[in-house]
Amino acid sequence: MIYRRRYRWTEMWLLLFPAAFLILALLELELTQNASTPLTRNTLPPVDVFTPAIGLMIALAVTHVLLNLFAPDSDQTLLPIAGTLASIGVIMALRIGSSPGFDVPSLGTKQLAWVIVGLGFCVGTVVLTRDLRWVRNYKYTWAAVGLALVGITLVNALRHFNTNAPSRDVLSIGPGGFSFQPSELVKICLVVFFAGYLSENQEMLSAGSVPIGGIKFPPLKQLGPLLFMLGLALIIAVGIRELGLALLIFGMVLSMTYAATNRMTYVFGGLALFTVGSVLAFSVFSYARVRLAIVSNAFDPNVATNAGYQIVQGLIAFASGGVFGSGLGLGHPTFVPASNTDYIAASFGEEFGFAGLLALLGLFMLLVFRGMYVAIRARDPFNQLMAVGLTSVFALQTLVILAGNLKLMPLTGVPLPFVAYGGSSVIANFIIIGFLLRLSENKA
Amino acid sequence: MNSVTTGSIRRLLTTFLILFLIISGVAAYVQISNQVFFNGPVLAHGTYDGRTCPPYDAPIRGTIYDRNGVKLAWTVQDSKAKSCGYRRQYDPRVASSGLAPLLGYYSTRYGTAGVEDAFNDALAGIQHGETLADITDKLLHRPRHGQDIRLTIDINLQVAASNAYDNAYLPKSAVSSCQPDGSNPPGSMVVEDPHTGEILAMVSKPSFDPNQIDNTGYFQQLQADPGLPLLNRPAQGLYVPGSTFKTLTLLAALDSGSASLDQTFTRDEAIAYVVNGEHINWDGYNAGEWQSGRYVATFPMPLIDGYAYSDNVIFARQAVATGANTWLSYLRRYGITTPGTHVNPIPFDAPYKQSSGFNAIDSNGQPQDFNVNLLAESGFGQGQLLISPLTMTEITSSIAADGMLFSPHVLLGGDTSSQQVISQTAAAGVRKAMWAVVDHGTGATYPNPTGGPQLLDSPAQEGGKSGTGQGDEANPQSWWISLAPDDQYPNGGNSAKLVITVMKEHSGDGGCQAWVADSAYRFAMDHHIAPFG
Repeated sequence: MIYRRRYRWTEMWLLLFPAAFLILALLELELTQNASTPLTRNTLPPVDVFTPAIGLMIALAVTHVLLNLFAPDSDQTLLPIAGTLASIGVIMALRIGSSPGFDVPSLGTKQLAWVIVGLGFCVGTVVLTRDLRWVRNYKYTWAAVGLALVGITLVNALRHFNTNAPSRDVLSIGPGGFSFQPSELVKICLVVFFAGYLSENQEMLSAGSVPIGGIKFPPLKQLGPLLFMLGLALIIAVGIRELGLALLIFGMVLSMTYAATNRMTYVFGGLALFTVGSVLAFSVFSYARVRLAIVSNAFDPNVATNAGYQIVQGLIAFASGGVFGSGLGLGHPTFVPASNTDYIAASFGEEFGFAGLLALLGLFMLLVFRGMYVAIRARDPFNQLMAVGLTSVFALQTLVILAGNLKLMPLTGVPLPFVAYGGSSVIANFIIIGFLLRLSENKA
Repeated sequence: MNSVTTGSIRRLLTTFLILFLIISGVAAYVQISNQVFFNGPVLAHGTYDGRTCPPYDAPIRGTIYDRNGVKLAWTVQDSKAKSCGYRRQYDPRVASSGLAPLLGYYSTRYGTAGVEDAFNDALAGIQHGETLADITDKLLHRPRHGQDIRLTIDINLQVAASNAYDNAYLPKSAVSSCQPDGSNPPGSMVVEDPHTGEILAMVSKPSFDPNQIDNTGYFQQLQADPGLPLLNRPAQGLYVPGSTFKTLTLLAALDSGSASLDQTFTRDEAIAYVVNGEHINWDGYNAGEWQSGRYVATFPMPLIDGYAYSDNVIFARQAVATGANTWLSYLRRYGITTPGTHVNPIPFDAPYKQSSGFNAIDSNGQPQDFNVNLLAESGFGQGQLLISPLTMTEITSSIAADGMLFSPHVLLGGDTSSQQVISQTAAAGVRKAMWAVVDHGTGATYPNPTGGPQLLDSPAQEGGKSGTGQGDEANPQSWWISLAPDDQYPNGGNSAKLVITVMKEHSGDGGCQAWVADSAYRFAMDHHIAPFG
């Protein structure tokens, strides 16, 4: 391996974006929350206001230095983009946590801690996966670990089957009440499995050898395990009420299969399966029907103030932001339930406006673009499919929660990557970034 | 080794990017059109929007300062306030010194009143050029900062005037002393610098607490109060001026040349007058006043003593002698309406009501002329006159300022326009008559309630005129108009620097209010306030 010991200047300059954002946003938060007089030399905010910015900038700088050591040739845009998104997440948690109706002042500090831990996981992933083959060789183990994680929560879920109680996708560890959402890690485990499996059976799957009705299907030997794993994952996801997770896994497998085979047959077949699955889900699960009814009749006077309250208030939050937003700290995002998690996009849209939301979507699109670029340039099919799968999960997750927020589909509790409050999601997404960094280092 | 076709990854990427663009489009539609697809209900400001106060609707109002930079009203941030997170705070002296009816209030529910209303555009930041602070506010999406304004009011003098008002007045039944009886009568007090038109104090009683305006039920209680605490009596209250209006008849006579101060009236001319079948008598003299004791009327009586003793008969005769047209033209010079002619009010920069000379329509609903009976009655301040304490203050101001009338104003540096309304000599003549009132007339009859020197020996050197407005026979209004120092004082006052009007509703004879004014004059002198600075 040839090390071009070239300093990652691009990454360093790009990291000035999150730094600038953090400083400006914290300054505005301080001004809007604590000062009623115009800004003068005497009313400059105290330095400790910028502590979160300094903390996060140090963490990003340390990550930057470590990447120079462990993956000097890896993609230089991934860390700045993820860092900016995570900065937005920290700022929003600070802002919402300190708003009068919410009053959890530690929210921002906690999110900052999660981001720093996430950056640690990111570097850890880069270091530990220096040789990706061991990851690939244990693909069934990964699958099993992933399914086991969900399986534990499934036990809980089964005890409350088919009630309208909220999701039980929570795994509590230890007496301290520390908990995390296994579904976040499950996605990564399944990407590893499918990348390994698809890359090994790529030829058979793309060529197909069993003609049925004029279309050549791959032999059951190759298709079987794929469908089995997919089915199992979906059943578990549906069982713990995470329709969003089911949708993610389905979309991810479909994307990876299409990338691996370049065959539209799989896409059409998948969409047909999805339709059947949806109809089944809605006929079996009353809570799914309720959710659909809420979305279609959100503005009915009886719904808007009850079950549709969240979706209606979320849309109002977006709309009240207008083009340029109310300004950070000046809107009322906490009028929307779950303003810091499921509805973080509405909170952001209210205060930063459409202009801000477009910039946020631009960052997500850039990350998806860079992820797919890593896939195109990756060394072998396993590496390529890993990058495709991780990027797809990331993209789908963003699209699903935004579509839910905007009333395009029933809302599913999927966190907006990096921005929504929550440790599991932040850590999982930084692991994805770690993988993508590693995959971009090991170029073809 | 196999390879994944880059074409499929590219198409996958394109698909994702298209989906992102669709989401962007939907977000644009929701955020810009304020609707959901398609023709959905209005979102922001709609039925279900709890945001009643977007920041741009809640400007941080400018601070209202008194002339010395003391904050009278300012805006504080208060997340619990009903009015959009900002609360208007008032100095407690605004309520206690009777300044609140002039200053008004600011409420998101009940709107604005008084100075808060008159200068709303400036205070709310609607009308002024962009300052650096405005640009920062815009960038930070912060609420507008309104302009600060500075009033001509001196809060210390205001408090002193209010205290003086509360501490000396004539009990309705007694005539011999001026002591408070605890009945706290409603009324007005105005202190003005006659050489600038600046209002230094404006007391209106009863007052209210603008800090409580948004409290449950408080505003309704104020509205229902028969004492009308929301009314700024000095500028918005119209009253029968009584004998104080003899001052206008006197200045009209002197300025037009229809009489001089030395013109005399025989005993018969001075105590009874029959005009067009109407008998007008000097009731006080007939009842024994000015016949014995310290001050005794002598005949033939000069016009100046008719003024000092407040003889209605002489002033009825004098008004008729001056003539209706001439007499009414002097009303118009002070912005008092006279039906049949358009009269511009003397402008005031806070809410006010124009004083009126007589009614356009008589009690039978017919248009009426200003006949000789009405002229005779108006000549001594009755008739159909309805005059505000502010108008009386302007009449006195023009006398104090050698015939110049400066537009009254409460905004420091506001309207300083002026006009010569009467001649310098006429003004000097009236000042002489006002000194005669405290020398040996109605202003000299009440001893100092605090036992100190009498008015004539007071350092204030006040000249004035009392009045008893018979609008309500049983409860006449008690008036006192004054200026100080009066240049007629033998020990050398040179020119009047301050003008004070005191008016207490249903409090009887006005002579006692001279002591209210005296107290305020001495406070202004001792503390070197404005013209004494």
